[in-house]
Amino acid sequence: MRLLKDNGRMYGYQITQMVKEITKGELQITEGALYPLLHRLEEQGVVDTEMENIGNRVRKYYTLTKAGKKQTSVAMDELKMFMQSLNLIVNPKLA
Amino acid sequence: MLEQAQINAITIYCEKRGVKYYDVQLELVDHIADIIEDLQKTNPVLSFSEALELAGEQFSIDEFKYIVRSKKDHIEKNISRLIENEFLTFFTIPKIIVTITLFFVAYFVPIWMHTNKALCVIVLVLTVVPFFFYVINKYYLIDDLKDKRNSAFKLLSYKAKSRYEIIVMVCMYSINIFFNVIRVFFDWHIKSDMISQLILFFLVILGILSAAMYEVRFQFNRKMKAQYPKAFTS
Repeated sequence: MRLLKDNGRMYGYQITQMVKEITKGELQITEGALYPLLHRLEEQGVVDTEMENIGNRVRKYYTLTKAGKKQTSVAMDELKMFMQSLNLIVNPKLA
Repeated sequence: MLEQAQINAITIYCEKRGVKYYDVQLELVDHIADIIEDLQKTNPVLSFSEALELAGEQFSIDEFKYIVRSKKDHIEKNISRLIENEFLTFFTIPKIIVTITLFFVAYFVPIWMHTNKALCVIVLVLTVVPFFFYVINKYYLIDDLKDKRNSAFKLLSYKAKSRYEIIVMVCMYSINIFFNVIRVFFDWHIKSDMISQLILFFLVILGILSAAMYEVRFQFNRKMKAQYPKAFTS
């Protein structure tokens, strides 16, 4: 969702490659995990889709909806809080 | 950029792995094509068929099945929502007025005619109105027939819609026949005008509902055509 927020519209393969690139290959999203997730997000109205002809094939692009953008901000804040808490558990001296 | 024949080969590859419908294939074909293009970019001597095999290896059989199942669930839920929304939007103020008018026509015409010919009016409403929408559908949706003939572009969305449509239509027409039988029974044996007219009311409503279903079909086809234009051109 964060990637979609930063990049506007993206397609499935592009997402997997970007995740791989950002995490330097540490994290790889399998197709079997990515597409069901994207379909669920579409159902929930978090993402919107549009089709575009790319050469001889059709590509499906995903974009965050207004509600999706809001939801991403909330989720990112929650994740940051969680990471901070986790950091405090791992490094109690920081507290 | 891959050629059309290569895209077709990827489509056949997906079909062999159980991805039979065009609307499910679409995204997977593009994904595999992207992998192939990347593989050939890093290794230009790699042939298309070798790259296709390598790309396919990135998906396990279970993964294919899982993606297809998730897509099927997604399409079925979407279709139900789309049909429900279209069905509700059919009932605009003018149509509600037409429904009420039709009811009064069906109610008063037999009285004016001094005979109980309400059944004729019902049959007229139930036959003419859906038939009218059917003709419109046929006229505007010739492309729909192309889709049925062209198995390469079979849409899962159509299968989901047809199942939904069959259930609704069978239910509506069963209720229609049931009420008609009851009505005839009351007319012949009990002579209860009140119950007879009450049933008449339900029958007129059913006629309008079946017309709404035809309208939903029309709107559905229009949306599918916009979403998957390739599936509608031979």
